[in-house]
Amino acid sequence: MDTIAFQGLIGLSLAMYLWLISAGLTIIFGVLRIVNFAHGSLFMMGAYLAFTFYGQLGLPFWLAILLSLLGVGLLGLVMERFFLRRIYSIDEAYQLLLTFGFILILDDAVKIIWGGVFKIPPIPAFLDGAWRAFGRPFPVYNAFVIAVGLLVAVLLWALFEKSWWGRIVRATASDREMANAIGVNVPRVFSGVFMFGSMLAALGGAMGTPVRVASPGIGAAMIIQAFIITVIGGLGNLKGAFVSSLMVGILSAYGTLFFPVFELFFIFVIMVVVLLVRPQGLFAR
Amino acid sequence: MMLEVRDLVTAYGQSLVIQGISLDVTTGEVVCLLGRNGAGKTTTLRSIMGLTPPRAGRVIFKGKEITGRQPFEIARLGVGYAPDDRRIFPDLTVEENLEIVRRVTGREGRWTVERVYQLFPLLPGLRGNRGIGLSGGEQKMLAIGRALMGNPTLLILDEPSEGLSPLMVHTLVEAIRQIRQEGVTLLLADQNLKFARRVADRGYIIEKGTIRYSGRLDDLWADQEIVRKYLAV
Repeated sequence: MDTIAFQGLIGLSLAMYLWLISAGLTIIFGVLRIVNFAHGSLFMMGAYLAFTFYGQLGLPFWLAILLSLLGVGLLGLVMERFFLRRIYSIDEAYQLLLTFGFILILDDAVKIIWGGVFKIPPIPAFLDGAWRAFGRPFPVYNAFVIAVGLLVAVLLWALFEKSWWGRIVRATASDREMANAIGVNVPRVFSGVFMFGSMLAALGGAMGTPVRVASPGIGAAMIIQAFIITVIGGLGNLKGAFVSSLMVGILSAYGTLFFPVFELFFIFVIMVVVLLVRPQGLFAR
Repeated sequence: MMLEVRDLVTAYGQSLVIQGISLDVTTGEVVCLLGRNGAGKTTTLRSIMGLTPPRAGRVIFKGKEITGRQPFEIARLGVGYAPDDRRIFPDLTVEENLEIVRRVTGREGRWTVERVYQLFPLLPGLRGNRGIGLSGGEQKMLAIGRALMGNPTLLILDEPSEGLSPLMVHTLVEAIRQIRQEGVTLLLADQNLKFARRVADRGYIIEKGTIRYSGRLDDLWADQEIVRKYLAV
């Protein structure tokens, strides 16, 4: 019984990682209607910046995360303002090409700046160690990630449901032309949303590095997971991404417990099953 | 002069939908574009609003050229727009659909949420309802109220009477009269000559993207031949 409960906790922390990497992707799709395949690369940049600020420069943990978010937010702003903006009105294949181009550019940039070897920053002292849960040691850092994931979920809900910026973004997402006609500066909303989504990717990366290594190429691995979560939840649906993360995280944890050889495989099985039953995802927009 | 449109040409792809339209709206006037379905009324209004940028011609609002400007800039200059298909934001409430306009245009003035509720008494009872659940008529009223929330000096209404019950048309006529009394200039497009005659001073008849007639609506009403030729179904 303890094993089952403990594995649930493991699943929950996995779910919160998945949630942090997919939330920004689905928000960007919901508003701008583009799939940003470089989202995983923004995650990677967040990881490397956090490594530099915390692991190399020795800045305080929170400050390092904040600076990583701002750095990646700025990168996202440049990507949207000077590149993506030019291709909204043309064929979707160009979105794929352009964002894939960014994956290659950022992978190489990382190799040039940080080198090709793995980087693992230390876990901050106050988050190091383990608590006992159901008779087993549970890493404090994982509990921290669960808390951050849930906090992000609550904050995003409040932002989109209760703030005027959120309502303006929702109005733009549902009808960008009409939003424009009532006075919404739609290009600026797009920039803001893309920047915001990039910062969420960076948060996932910055939080993830102490337990998952930063390496060139993790962007490509991350985008596959994030994309699957988003598709299962319904592209562009934030609640869907949250539920889908929980489902995939927890089912994968139990699946791994009973069928360890299929560990990397469960996310695909879940996607196939969900899409066979509901091709539009759990929560269609 | 509130609005001057000069030699407007607008196309969708290869087909010229508007082929050189010129029209004027004087401050304080109510002007109505008339014509059958597909004549080019909606496209003319969309071109003025910047939603379908014209290929050629000029749009001048209060002496200032606005041709090719972004719709949000035109809205912030004081042009309100209610489209024929209403386009209420489905997951915002009635009140949020109104309030959002005040927030994004930053144009404070005599039109407030409460004032819009007075104008359309069926709206306050629905203030917490999401846009997606409203009836067509309710959406129509809300679309007009939403356009007013930017405190426009020029209000553009596309097919305001379309699909409304006779009772709602009556409410609409009263509302347009009150809006006018508040000093707002109106440019409408409607197929319903009877309705247009009750609210508008002057009209333009559009057919195949050009203006075929312009004049006072009372004169037009009396000219059976023109009505039969351009407006009768």
